[in-house]
Amino acid sequence: MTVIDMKNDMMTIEDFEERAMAYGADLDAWPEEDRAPARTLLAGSAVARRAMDDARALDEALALWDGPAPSQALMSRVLTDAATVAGEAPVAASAPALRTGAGWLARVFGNRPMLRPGLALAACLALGFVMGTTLEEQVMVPVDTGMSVDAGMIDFAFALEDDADLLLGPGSLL
Amino acid sequence: MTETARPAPFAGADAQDDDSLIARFAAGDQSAARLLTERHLGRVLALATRMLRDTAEAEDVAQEAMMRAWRNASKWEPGRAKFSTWLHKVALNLCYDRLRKRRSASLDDVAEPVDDRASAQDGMEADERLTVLKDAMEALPERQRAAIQLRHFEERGNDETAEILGVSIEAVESLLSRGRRALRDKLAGQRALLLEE
Repeated sequence: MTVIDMKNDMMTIEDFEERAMAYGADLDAWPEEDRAPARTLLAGSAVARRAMDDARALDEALALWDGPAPSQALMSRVLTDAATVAGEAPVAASAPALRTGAGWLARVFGNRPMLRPGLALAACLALGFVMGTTLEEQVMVPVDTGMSVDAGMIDFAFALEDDADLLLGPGSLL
Repeated sequence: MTETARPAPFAGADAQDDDSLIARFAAGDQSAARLLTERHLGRVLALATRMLRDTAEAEDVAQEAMMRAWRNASKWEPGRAKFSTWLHKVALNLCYDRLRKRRSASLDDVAEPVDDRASAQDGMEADERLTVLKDAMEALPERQRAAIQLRHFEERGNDETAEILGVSIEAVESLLSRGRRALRDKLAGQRALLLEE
């Protein structure tokens, strides 16, 4: 054994008592580097053995306190939370569809960048058609025409709003 | 008697590592949530129960800690931290919050802290011994109590205990030593009671 080895193996009784108090009587729970010198001290010191008896008594007292097992009700609550959070995720993930533009058109015609100018043109034509037909109705039926125009515009606005809600999810309303 | 669910063992067919399970959950796999819950809920609940001595509050803390895991799953970075360490840290901080609220409530003399002493005072010897121990633990400063929970009951290493508590490894040893010495002194007069079979 070298001098360095002998130094590493040394442990004062105060150090031993401190470790025993901190880590208890199970040497496997002590820091690895302290185990061998602790065994050496235990073999030759009555004081060390008394310190170990003290630590063991405390370990045994602590062992009286078992933790409770989770109830099925708690398990269910936790798993319900997980399902709720998982259910929120796809809605949030779909939000970028609107940010890329024409989300509802993309859902109808497919999300193909090459077709986007065409889709935009189609949307303009459709909007023009709706406006043209409702204005025509207004001209043809002069009495109470305001109602028919307003109703048409409101329906159109709701259609857009519904679409936006679907794409953005509840968080978009905040 | 309350129906209980024992945590699943670590080994076996379900022994996929936590990082993979978190990633699976973030990708929408609910079975990963079940495995993570079976693996960790028991220990988190035990920690909270010993810290708070109130079953309902401990269950709330355990549920909230798991909820934070679900909410942060998509942001989890594998290998950066150990999931169970992170989860215990969250649970412990939730316990500290509740203990702080209790202290301010008792300062205002609003209500007595809720605990399970009444149920333990039924004259049964085992309950009496356990009550003595719980009272002694409750009288310890929070961090000493937490250090003993993590090292003794959870059997976590010094480095992990240090990480959960947010202190150095030397500080863990000091917390353990002071905490256990204080426990020993508090229990000195009760030793015969505690150790009788």
